[in-house]
Amino acid sequence: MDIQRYPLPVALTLRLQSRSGRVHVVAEPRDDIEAQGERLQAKEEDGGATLHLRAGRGSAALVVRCPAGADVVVGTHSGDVRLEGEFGDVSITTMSGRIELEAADQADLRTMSADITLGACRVSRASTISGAIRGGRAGSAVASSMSGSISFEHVRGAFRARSVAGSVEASCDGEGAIAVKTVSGTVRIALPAGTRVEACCRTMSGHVECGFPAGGDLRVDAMSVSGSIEVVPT
Amino acid sequence: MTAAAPASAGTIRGTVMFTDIVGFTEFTALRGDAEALAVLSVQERIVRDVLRGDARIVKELGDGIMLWFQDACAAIEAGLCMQERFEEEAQRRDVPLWVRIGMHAGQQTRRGSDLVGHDVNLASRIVGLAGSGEVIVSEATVQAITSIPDDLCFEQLGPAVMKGIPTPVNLFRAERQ
Repeated sequence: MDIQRYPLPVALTLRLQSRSGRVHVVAEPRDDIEAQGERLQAKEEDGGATLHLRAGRGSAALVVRCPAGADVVVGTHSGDVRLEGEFGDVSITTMSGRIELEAADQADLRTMSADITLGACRVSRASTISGAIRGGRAGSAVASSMSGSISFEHVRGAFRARSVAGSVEASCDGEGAIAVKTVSGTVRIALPAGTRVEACCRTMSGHVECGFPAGGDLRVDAMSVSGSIEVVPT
Repeated sequence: MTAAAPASAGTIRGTVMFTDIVGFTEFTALRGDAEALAVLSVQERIVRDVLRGDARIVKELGDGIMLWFQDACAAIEAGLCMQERFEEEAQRRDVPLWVRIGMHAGQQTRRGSDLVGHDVNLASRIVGLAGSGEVIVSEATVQAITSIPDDLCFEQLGPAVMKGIPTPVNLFRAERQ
């Protein structure tokens, strides 16, 4: 197992690659980067502002410790990706690895067949085919899935979600427009009581419940082919 | 990334695009074949409306379409234009015409009217990573553009390690400014 240390550059972007090994990145108060893995290949770019780390083939984990607030880009095939701590801009692409992100300013997370879990994020975008998307607190969120469910504990601003068969559930402050569409998944959006809603909720064979007074505080656009739609007070 | 070698007699260089309607199977099961066929017809009409010049539909693939463009920028512009039209139509008709689009510029080998080869396979992998409503392109596609229009921007998504593709491919999401 290699352990390598890199001095802290002026700005910091980490670009990490692994095929089947898991990737675990910890953002913490520190002034260097420490990487642990097997047959690591490292390359610096942009005068040291970008560090590429590539794990060798095999299932050994790539564990990286970096300063809080770093931007991180990760690509794996089947390796799970876990980012612990607070990051800047994060982009994670994996075919079948599970994605977990604790906190970031902006995040783009996409996987084909695994779950995505994100904690706090100002701007988040998540896409999965068969996995579920679970979000914590988001400034704004865009999420899409095929068979997996989408749920956000709290979205302050705009929320846009599309799911084929999975349900969509979110508690929103209503500071941005809400647009949710499903084919067969149910939709449940919670809003602050008393919000005056310009609602456009349509379902072909489900039921629609929206007990909010009509008004211009917030636009809610929800459509489902067969799923039910509920817009309820928090 | 594919090296920019000159194309031989049986090969051409260009950008291959794949479209894929999200949730089409489920929609068909719920609403029946007639409504599903109507959705496919709408997709095909929009795609044909958007195509210009040398661009062509290579083949239809169930709920998706494979297209070829000589020019990478034209392919991206067409992809974004298609997405705008799909959104409008989905809203107007209340149907889930949610399409994901992926593309890759490189070399393709002719096989009758079909195109095959590594770069075609790569384009088909890329569409699998696109979310509904997105246009995802490879780095080779971005690099094939000689002059990026002012209203076009690319958000870097990073390396994608895809099945059967030996080298990770940098992906970008194409968007209007």
